[in-house]
Amino acid sequence: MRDAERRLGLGIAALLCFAVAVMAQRTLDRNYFRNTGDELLYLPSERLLTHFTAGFDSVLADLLWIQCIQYVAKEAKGERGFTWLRHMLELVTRLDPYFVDAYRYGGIFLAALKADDRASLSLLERGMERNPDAWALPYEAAMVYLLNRRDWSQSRVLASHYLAMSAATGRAPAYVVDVAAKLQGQYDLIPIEEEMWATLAHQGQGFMREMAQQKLKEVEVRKACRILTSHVQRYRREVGKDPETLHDLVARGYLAALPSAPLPGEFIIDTNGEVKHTFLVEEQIREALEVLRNAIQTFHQTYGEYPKNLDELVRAKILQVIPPHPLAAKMWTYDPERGMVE
Amino acid sequence: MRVVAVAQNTLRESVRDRVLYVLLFFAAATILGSKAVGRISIGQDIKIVKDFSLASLSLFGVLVAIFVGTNLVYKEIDKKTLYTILARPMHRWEFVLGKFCGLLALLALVTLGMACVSVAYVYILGGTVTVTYGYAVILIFAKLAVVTALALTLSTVTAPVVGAIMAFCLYLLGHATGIFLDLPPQLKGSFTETLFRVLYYVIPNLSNFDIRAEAANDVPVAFGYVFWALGYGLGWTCFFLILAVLAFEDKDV
Repeated sequence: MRDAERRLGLGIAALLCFAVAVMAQRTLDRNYFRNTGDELLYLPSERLLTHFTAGFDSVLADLLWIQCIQYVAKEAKGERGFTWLRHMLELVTRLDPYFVDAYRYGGIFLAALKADDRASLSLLERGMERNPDAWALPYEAAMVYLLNRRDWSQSRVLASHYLAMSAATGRAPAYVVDVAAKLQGQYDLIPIEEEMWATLAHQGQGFMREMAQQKLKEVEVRKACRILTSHVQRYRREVGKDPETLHDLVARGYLAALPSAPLPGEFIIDTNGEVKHTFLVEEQIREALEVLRNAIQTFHQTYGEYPKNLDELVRAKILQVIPPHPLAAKMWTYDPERGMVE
Repeated sequence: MRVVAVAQNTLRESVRDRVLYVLLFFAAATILGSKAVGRISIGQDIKIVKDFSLASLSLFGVLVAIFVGTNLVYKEIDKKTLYTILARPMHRWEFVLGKFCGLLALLALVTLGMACVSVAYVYILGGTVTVTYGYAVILIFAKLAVVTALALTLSTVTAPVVGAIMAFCLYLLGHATGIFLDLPPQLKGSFTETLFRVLYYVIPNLSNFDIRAEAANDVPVAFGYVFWALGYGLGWTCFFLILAVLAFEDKDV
């Protein structure tokens, strides 16, 4: 009996010690939270890392991939810097070169969230080299050309080329062939983009689904902007001047009511008569700035100095066109001393 | 026949080792728990389960090989049971080979058991495995054979703790031999390059046995590769066994 009591006492003591440890951990987390963002700074070079994994390359790739998803989700809801995204993806795919979904979703993250089409294409092309049977990689490369590089002169030709590659794997689903056919027949990219995000929203999980749903909302707002712009143009033709606000369209009976957008912000009429949504304008400004900053960085790495003006990025063939400011009356301001664009 | 008798005894003895069950428990927990990790990976749960299963197969197999292997001969000397064995009409090489075969049989059982559990788990979760998965398991076993032979060699010359540390260091180094060829361009043609090239061949390259990424991603692997990797493993295993026999024959017991 005494032995049983002693054992019970020890068991309770052990549980108490465990409770104290949990409580201490919670207190540390709550009161002494350490920003873990900088820990990514210590990720080693992928070239070195592969030699020191003791054969656990693919498990490390899985763990890094999970950390990468968490990093992307955190950045997407926070600062949207994505500073370490490319490096993390390089590490994951170097550790496991057959990890098709890391190339695929990594390419989407880089293109759609970081607006770094160059890095996205580089990652996808590397993935295609290692996994020539993966239909999704050329398909995503085609999407980068269609969505991120839509203003480039050869974008449709190159997108068609990648879609043909995707179809040639013999494993691509029917909608890839549909997109290729649409690309041949019409020039409206919105349905193609809508289809791409709808597929991801349907197939994806967790953060990927959230991102695709957000993108679908953006597509919906863009469609609404397009309809409103056509009403503004009609107003201009019939009344002889631009409406001052969109409420004028309702007052004149062009619209029964203003459409409600599934995103925060409001519809505005730009100085050129196009209807835009403030949320999308902010997004476009962020993306365009990201493209410009990446290009300036590439120029600086190549030539050791900042370009004297933004047109120099086109002359150096880093960009094919300078992304225009989403608001017609506004221009980018560029400081060649510091290589800063605002 | 005498080799078989020693092997049977070694297997029986190793099965009774509690360390084995602790390691098996952690291996099973890793395989079954990997699904939880996979949940936050955007549809990669099956791949992650395969990756973790093969990794735990390899890691826990190596731990068994090292911890049990480095104890094999030393324990017999320490407990003085070796004298009764060697007093019988038995060559020392038969004793070493029997010990090796016994531990290898244990590892074969452990590897096969864990592989069956992991394949069943993958199928229960709705995934499939290809022949590459089978190749990966076979090559993991080949790696375990090399590590066991190495551990046995160390068991004949050092104490178990020192032997385990040395075996583990060699195991880590064996996965990093690629760095001896991945040198900066300024070392090209230098003595260092020659030295590193020699080291590349002197240290067993254990990454030859790793096709786990291919297995988890269902990427086909040529049979020729598996064949040559097995040949490589056989070469190193025999080499270490011969060293173990030589060391044990010279040992004054």
